[in-house]
Amino acid sequence: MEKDKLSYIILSAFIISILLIIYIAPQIDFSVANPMWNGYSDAENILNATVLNSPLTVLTQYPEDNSCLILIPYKPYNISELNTIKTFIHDGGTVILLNDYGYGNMILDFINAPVRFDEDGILIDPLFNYKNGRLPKIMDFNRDISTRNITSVILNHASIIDVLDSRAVILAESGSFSYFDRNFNYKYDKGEPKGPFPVFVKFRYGDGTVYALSDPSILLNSMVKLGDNIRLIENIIGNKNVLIDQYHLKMNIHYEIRQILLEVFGFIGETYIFPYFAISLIITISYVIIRKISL
Amino acid sequence: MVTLTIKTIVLLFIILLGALAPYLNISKVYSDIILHENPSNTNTELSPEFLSMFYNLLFRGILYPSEYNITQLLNLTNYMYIPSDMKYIISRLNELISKLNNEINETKYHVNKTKTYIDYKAYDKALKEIKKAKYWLIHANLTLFDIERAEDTLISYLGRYGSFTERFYKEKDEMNKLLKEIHSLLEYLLKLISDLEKESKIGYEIYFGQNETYTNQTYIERTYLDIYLNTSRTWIGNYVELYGKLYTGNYSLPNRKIYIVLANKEIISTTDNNGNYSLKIKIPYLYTDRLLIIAFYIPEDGDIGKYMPSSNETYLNLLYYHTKADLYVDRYSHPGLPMNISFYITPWKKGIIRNISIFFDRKLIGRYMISSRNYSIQYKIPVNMQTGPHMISLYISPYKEYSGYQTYQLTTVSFIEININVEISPDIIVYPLSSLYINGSITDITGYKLSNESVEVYLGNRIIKTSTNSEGKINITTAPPPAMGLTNIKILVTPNEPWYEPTSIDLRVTVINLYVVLISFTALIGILYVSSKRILKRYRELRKRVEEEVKETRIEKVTEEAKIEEYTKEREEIKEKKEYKFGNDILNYYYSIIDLLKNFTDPPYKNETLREYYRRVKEYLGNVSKEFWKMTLLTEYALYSGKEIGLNEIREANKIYNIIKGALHGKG
Repeated sequence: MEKDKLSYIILSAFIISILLIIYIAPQIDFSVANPMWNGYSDAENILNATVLNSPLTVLTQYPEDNSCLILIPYKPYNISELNTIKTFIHDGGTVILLNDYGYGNMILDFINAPVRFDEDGILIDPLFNYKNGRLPKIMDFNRDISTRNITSVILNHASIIDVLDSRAVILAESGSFSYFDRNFNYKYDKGEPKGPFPVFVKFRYGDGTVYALSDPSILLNSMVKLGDNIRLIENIIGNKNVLIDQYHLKMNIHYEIRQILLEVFGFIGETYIFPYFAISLIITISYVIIRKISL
Repeated sequence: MVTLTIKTIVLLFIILLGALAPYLNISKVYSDIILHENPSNTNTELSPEFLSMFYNLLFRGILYPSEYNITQLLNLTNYMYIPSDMKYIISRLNELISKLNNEINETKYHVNKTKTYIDYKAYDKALKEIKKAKYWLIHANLTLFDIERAEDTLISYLGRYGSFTERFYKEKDEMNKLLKEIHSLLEYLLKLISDLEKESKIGYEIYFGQNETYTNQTYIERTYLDIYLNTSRTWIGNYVELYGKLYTGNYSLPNRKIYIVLANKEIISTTDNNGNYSLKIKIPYLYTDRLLIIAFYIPEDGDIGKYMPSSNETYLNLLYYHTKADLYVDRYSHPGLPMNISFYITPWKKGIIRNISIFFDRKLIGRYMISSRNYSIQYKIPVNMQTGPHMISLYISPYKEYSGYQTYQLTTVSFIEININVEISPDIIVYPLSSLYINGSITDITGYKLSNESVEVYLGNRIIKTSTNSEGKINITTAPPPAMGLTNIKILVTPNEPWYEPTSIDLRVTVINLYVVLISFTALIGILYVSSKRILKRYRELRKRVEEEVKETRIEKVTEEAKIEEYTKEREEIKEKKEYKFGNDILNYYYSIIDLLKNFTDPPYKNETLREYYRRVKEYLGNVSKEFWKMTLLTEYALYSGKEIGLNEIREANKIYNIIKGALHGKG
């Protein structure tokens, strides 16, 4: 009898766990499927974005001059993807490269861009910030269509941008009180660079434009409504269709298990599998019930 | 089965771990850099308390641009705890203020140079200087914007945390005034630059051949002016020789006036027959590293329209003694008490006299002419001085080749702490029978006994006033307060000296108020009397009920015994009659099993069904419980089905009986 009880508990916990894994959205950073504070679900809704969940070679299906691609590069790109991105920009596409500690420089290197992300530290502004220095408030904007009516943008654990030559136009800089915390101890140490630092720049490549912003966190659900964060992206996008790359996000264990389970359920749910599965299940359950009753 | 269960638990654990991964931050294993934090949950890290302290310091530094080195102030505050980010903000703000100051000075420098060039008709160079002045002015504006924004932010931070003292707002107003002054200065410079630019352009047109007055003049000859010094560096106050030559591309220009400008002074020289000029000049007491000397040639009379104006400049490195001083002040000072201020000046030469001034929060507290590098004074802190950090500034006037110097230190004005070492005895007092003894001494934190100080003891609504004796002691004997239980007794010491702050302590004593106790006791007795009567009544009722219940239980027991007897009798009768119908055969087997089971448990109770009996005896049957279940079903069939019992059923019953018998014998 005790063993029976334990079996029931284990079985129930197992089923509940599976349901939780499936129904609780995995908290993947920057994922449009993540409605929690670190997801992009609000940004997807506001921008009415088309989600790209496959390698970026699919970009060829979209018209360059009417599309704006948002990249959050947390996984490396292969050469064919880099070539597709390069062609996309060259032929008139607009790219918003949101990167702090990802693979943004891989793209910039590939197209020989005039800027690079400096990922060797964190931008801290102990004075102009939202709550603390790790959430610096950007208030210095140069005149551009993208910075129209923008008064402040809040970043969250951001990097900075190094400008290599005059092809790059600096659109926003951090405050004079900011510094670049090289050793990530959130304190100013002697020798660490002092602001202002470029955090938002643009440059032309072929017929297209690349906007580089040193923090993808500005569009997180918890950040998107702070300051003019969303307006900055909306200004860049204008009337174009938004494509948002989700294929190059960094996944977590929950996501991996959930994917496997969904694949299993997908298999079971197939037209030729489900009836047999259902019959087997009914027979098994009936047998167990009848056996119990007969005792 | 066990292995399977362990496997299931392990699997379950892994799955649960997976489900909880996002909450456990397992995803962090992918990277050691935190990509972001939840802004809703994060804390505000700029503490208003420290911000207020910092702001106070900031104002002191920023209000007086000549003393703006806040970093120096900051070093002096090591004994106060200032968070690192605050220190960084202070230091950065200081850098920005220095930068602004430097940019304004550069602007002024180029504006002055432009004016000089315009005065001496060197319009081409004036226009170049204007560009430089503009460059510095733009940067000064940007820096000022940063500083103002910093001020706004700091104020808004403070604004979130309630009100601040009047003093704070007063300083804030002064800060705003200063910023307005800087704004006015920048606006003035902008207007000046604009005017000078216009003037330079007009002058350029006149003197460089693009004015209609000289339309007949087809060619204006360019002139060149050399300037040299006999040395590249000299001590201030010394003489140097200045020389040079004025010439055109083809010949030298004799008997022309050369204007030499240095440190806003003008000296005129004239070229000789070979166009050369030479003069000796005394270097003024300027405490800068470099002195700019400019020579001008301005076409006059017949030269106008014939020769272009020309100028040239050179720099002379100046040598002088950089005065420095170490200032020492008491870290803590107290209202009404003298504070020690001393300083040590370097370099020093025997026989020199230096004028020094000392300020307390910008207020002059003394001017001295000193003939020794060491000096110390005492300054009595005003009685009504606000407690908190204050700035002591030392200003040393320049003396010949010795530059001026200023420095400052912080002192914290505070009251000397008072220790009230007073005891109350006894710890437990009975009011109104006992007396309360309050004894002890009052000293300051250094142990100094405070005599003749006013002491007030608050005992409820009663206040006892006394004063300390010459030994700083108090001895009070008084009636306890008419309270009950733990009672606070406040002792307030109000010293006569301004450097002590009125201080109080709260002591606790347990008071037993006899009146309260008597009243309570009486009330308790009354309540007990009433309650006991009620309890007695309830006890009797309860006893009656219990007796009745005992009676009923006895009757039931007798009935039960009678039934068992009846069952045994019936069983004997069946045996005797040997009425072995088929149905009775099955019942016989059933009763036989019951007989066997009597060794383990009671026979079936009254009203107990066959199935209930089965569930009761199941645990004693062990492996053969299933057999007894079948036997139970067979018996039910025999008793209630109304059908005839076949031979097969009897055989089955026999078989079950034998199995159970065998099993129970084993147990027995």
